[in-house]
Amino acid sequence: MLDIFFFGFLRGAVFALAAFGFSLVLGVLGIVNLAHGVFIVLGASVTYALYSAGTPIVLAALAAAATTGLLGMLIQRLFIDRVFNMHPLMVLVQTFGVAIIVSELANKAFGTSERLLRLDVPGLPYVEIGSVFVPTYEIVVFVVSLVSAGLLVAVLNYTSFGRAVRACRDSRQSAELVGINVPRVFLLTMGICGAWAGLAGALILGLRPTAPHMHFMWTIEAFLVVIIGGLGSMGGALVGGFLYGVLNFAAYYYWPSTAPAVIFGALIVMLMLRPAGLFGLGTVVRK
Amino acid sequence: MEQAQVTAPPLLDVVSVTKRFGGVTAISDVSLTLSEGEVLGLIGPNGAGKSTLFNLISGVQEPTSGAIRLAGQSIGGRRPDLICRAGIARTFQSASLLPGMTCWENVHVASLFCPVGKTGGIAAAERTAQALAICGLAAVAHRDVAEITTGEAKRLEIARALATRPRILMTDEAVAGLNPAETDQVLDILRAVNATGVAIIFVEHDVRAVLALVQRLVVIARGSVLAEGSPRDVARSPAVIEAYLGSRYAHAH
Amino acid sequence: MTVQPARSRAMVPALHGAAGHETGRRIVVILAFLAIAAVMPFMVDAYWQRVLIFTFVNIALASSWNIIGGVAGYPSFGHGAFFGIGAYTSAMLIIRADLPFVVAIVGGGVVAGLFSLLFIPLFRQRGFYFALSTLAAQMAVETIVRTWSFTRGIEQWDMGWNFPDLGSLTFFYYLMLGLLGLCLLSVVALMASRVGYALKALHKDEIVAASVGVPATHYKSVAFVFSAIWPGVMGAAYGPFLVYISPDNVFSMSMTLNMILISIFGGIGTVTGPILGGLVLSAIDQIAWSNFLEYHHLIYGIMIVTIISFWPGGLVSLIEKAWSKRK
Repeated sequence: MLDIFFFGFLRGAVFALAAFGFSLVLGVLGIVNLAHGVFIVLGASVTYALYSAGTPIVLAALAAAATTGLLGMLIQRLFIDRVFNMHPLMVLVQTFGVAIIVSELANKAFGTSERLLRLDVPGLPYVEIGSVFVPTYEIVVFVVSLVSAGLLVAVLNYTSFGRAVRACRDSRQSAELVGINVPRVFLLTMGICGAWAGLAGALILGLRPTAPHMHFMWTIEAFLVVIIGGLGSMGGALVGGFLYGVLNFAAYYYWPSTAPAVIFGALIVMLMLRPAGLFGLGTVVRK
Repeated sequence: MEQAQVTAPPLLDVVSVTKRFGGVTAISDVSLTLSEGEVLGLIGPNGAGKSTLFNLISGVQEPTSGAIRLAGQSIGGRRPDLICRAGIARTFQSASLLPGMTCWENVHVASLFCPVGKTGGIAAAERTAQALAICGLAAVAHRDVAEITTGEAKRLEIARALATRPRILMTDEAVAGLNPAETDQVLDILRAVNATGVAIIFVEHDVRAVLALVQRLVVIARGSVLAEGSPRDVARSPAVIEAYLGSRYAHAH
Repeated sequence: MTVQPARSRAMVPALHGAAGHETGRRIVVILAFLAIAAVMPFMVDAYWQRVLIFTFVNIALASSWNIIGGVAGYPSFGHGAFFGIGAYTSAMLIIRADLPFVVAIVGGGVVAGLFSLLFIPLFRQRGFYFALSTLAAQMAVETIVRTWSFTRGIEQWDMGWNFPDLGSLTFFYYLMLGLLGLCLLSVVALMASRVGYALKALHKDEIVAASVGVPATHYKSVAFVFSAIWPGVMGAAYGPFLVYISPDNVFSMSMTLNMILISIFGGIGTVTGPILGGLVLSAIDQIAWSNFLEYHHLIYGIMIVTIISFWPGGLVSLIEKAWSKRK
């Protein structure tokens, strides 16, 4: 049982990384991006394709993240910007359509088979911690995820751009009054969201078989992480990631074929009991 | 001008209500009462907490602490639709008419859902028609809300509130942006409504309108009650003169 | 009180007529559509009758989705689950329990409706909680149905259900058409009732609606349960027509996509929109199917995005604009 907690916790970091962008976009732009999962699976697909073509893995991952980052900005410019003033839930349907388009194109480009990249740290495949043999790759993923997350938090808190992003998150009108170029902030926020999610996808490629058509699963998982940890809180997303990591690992371990149903059950229970999440900043407002 | 001491509980009793949002205290320990058929004015500078108080009474928001009672029954924190059914109706300060619908439809929603008792088709339709007639809107009933004037829109808000057959009508800036003739029209409507026994809480910036209508005045500033009493007494209160009423009251005279 | 009773009473019949006028128009459109559809089997061959049957199913599904997604403003991204639940309920009632077809059809609606009750607590929250939960629900239900021995199939190795022969093509044609007719008329009735009023008001401004007495959660829940029943009914009736059902053909995201796309295409929030949208989309589909089978989903996605970006009101709004220009 303890190793389930341990492995779940390790994986939690990458779940948190995958969900950060989702939480950021929700806070800053105020929208739920149903196409979020697409960044993750695309990050994985691009990494796999580049690596198979001979690119070193680190470079492949970074290139994938850059690609998904650009995609994020493209989606913002072409699709989301246009429908901003509409009924907020119509934006949801719009992102739903975008998710379909991008995933179908990815299907065509990368094929529908599920990819898994067995990566070993050269020379040190396993590390012994206590009585558990932990694949070194998992530890690498853990560290990279935390570092990337830390980098994002640093950008948000210590750069002028980060300040602008936070201003938009707290109050869009005030940000405009102060002269912040809100459309540009939105664009870059979506870019960051795409990039970080793409990186998470590249990391996940070594942990779970991934294919473009699985994107909705990832969108829901990002949503779950954010729900558990609380809307609008980066720290909450981190904690949510860890908790979800354990939940997810346990679900797949004990009930491998019905895990999605278990996870869904957890979502419903969570929403009914503590809709604001564990560290939620937002009040429960009607609509 | 002392009112005789009433032994029955006041119609509306707001007791030591406080509302905090995050780190901001919008309303602090505010108490006020409203008797049957009374017209109470609520004035104060922008951001004083008047709209928040409205939201608390009408159920749109929940008080952080304190109690709100309607005819002895606690209503603090209850759902707005239940409070409406209990007999409190309100207008909104801005943009609250349902878009894409006609004036008649806007009022009809209230007729269909609020009054307790007969809400069947014809009875509701008559209520809507009556409310529109009282507010002088019979001619524009079939028009889309985007096509009416500001004066008509303000009166439509009142008509909608009236269709719920309230015991208390709360108006929020009901004459803001209106010229003197339109303002008088609204005041006439409110006087007529009050004459049928409906109590009114009148929130307004226009001091002339306030003085023309209210029997009693409460001044709120920075989230707490500054003064209370007849308009004359309040005007003489040094705290009020200092904080707000001062030169504007002199102007109105 | 200066009320002019004569004037106020005069307003009532005229305005009542205005509201009734729209309902009347909708009923006329629906009856015309049903009448034309009823004679189609005498004019087209079996292939087109099958196409029409599938269209009828989609129109019914879209009409129901529209109530919660368009009128109430709570888009559900997992409504296909109710269709699948209906089909599977029908399978188990007919094949396992040997009950008559009629019972299965009703049962499909009942089970779907009961399942939708699970979502009621979500209506107190923001809309996107609801949206994502419905998406998760469809995936979860599909997983359960696929793996749970009770629902997998009658034999241990089965991956789906085989229906006995329950009727001819013509039988199914008129059955589905009849169910569609009932569905559309019930939608019209719902919209003309207080529920319709409540939903429209809630959608436009929930706080204002609540302030005039509309109980929000109550009506949203009513709308959702109503919108779940019809897909259940249609699934229960359509399953036997497919003869073999499995998670792949009744729980696929396609059904959900269809519902959303047809509603948007036809005119979201309208009653006649789904009919129009369903017919036109079927036509487009037929062309696309024969030419671009692989790009089916992609085309749908593009259509959703394009329509929302440029013509969010759908076909109905385009027609209304053209109509008012003629005057």
